Amino acid sequence: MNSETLLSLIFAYLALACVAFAVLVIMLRNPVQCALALVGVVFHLAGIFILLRAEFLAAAHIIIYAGAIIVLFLFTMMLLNLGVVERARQFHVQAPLAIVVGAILFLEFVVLTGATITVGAQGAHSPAWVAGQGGNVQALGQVLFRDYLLPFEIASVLLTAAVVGAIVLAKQKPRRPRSSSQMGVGEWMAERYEKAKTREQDPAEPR
Amino acid sequence: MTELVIAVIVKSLIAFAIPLLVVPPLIWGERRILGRIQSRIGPNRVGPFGAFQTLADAVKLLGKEDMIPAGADRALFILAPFLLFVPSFMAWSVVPIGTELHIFGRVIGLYPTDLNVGLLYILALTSVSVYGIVMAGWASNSKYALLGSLRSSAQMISYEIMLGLALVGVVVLAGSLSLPEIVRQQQVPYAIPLIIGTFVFVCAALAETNRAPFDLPEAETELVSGYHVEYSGWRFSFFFLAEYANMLLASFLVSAVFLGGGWPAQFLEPYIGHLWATLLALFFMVSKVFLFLFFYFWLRATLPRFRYDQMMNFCWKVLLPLGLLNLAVATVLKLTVYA
Repeated sequence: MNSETLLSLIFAYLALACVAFAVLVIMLRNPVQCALALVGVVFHLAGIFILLRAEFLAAAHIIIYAGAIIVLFLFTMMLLNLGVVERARQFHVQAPLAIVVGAILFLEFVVLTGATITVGAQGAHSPAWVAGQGGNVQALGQVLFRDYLLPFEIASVLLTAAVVGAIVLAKQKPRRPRSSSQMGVGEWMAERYEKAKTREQDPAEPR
Repeated sequence: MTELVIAVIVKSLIAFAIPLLVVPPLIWGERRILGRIQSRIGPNRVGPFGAFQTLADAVKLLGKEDMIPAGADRALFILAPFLLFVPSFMAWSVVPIGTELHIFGRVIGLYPTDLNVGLLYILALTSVSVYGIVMAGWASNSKYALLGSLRSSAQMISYEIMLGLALVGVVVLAGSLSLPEIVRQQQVPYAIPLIIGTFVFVCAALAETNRAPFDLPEAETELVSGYHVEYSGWRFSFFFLAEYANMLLASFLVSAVFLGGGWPAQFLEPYIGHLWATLLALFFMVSKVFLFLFFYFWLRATLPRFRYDQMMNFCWKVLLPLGLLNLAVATVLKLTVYA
């Protein structure tokens, strides 16, 4: 077996697994299991990126999607304690819309694949250019921090503003003093500890 | 082609064998050292100096009844230990124990693979191991396990960021994400110029591996343990094994990335020859790993456990500013000393 067929086999596995997990995402009844199937999609997609020699993209894909975004989904779903969704009703309502969107996406897929085969890949950043930069990490660094530095910096400032905004919204001071049932456990313990400390310093107060 | 395949298989086996073979003596060593520090003897009955204690414990764990709680999500309950165990072993495929060995006219890399995004790969796998914790807590269908898993996953997600932030400084100085390249670049171990980053990394690594003083899942008496409270027998041992494999991984990472791997053996190469210098480098690397592991045990015996809110405050109010400061220091150094 030469390396060409080996790569094709690996690609076939990754692609099939991607589709299978994607189907599981919408077919499984338990939302937590759906989210885990989505993790499966993300992992196999990262595998395809590695086959395309885009290792940085693969690692970033796993860190951002699997490591952050889907974990957030999971947290939300675990805390909301969603039940098992009725399968029949879910598909019944969405079917016409899904068919239309699916048809459009499939058409786009056919057009893009056809164009890639007939015209070839477009753009200045060809595989040869990336190899000339010394690898995809270096190439990405060149593009992000030299060619598109200003848009990159603007995007960073926007993201920072969004993070600060989210914290400010979440940390709004409550109007009235909170009862102990509204406090976090740590906060409640800390308050109790403070109280105990002041009592120790004040010998007049009876224990 | 065949030669390449054989080399890959041998290296993969070695990479897989390191954590599996080192962890049992490690557990025994930890218990002996803890015993010494706490003025007691530690395990001393099974085998010479109690060296087979871990083996006996493993047999005990395997022989225990395998319990799955009623109302648990069976599939996820079974899957969860593996979700934690598999990433911690996958990470070993990029860990270098040295740089290159030139022998019999060929070059043997003393690392399983030289992945050009090695550091990111390790960070990706640490971020994925959160799933094992979340799933273990959720699938157990127990409020204590669920609370424990929320606590632990919040801890892991927060400290993971600090882990990455500390490594950014190293990446800036080395100009590479590949671990062997980072080792090669260190004329002086990065722990000296990036002392702040080293501190941040060590703290974050302690928290990521759930070790003292961040070992909230170990707190049986006050927090009813953690995400693995419903697990027993060999399923529990998987959590245990993953924790120690992660600990060993963190020690290898600190030694390779911050302590210069086999430094300073490479300077002796002109005097004692390549082979001896490589062997000496391996010796230095392994010594650093074991020194760091000893540091782990020492901390466990010495420090009290953080309260949950103290732990979170420490992460976001101490480590985050320090990590940013480290990045600033690294940038300045890159433009001046390392230019």
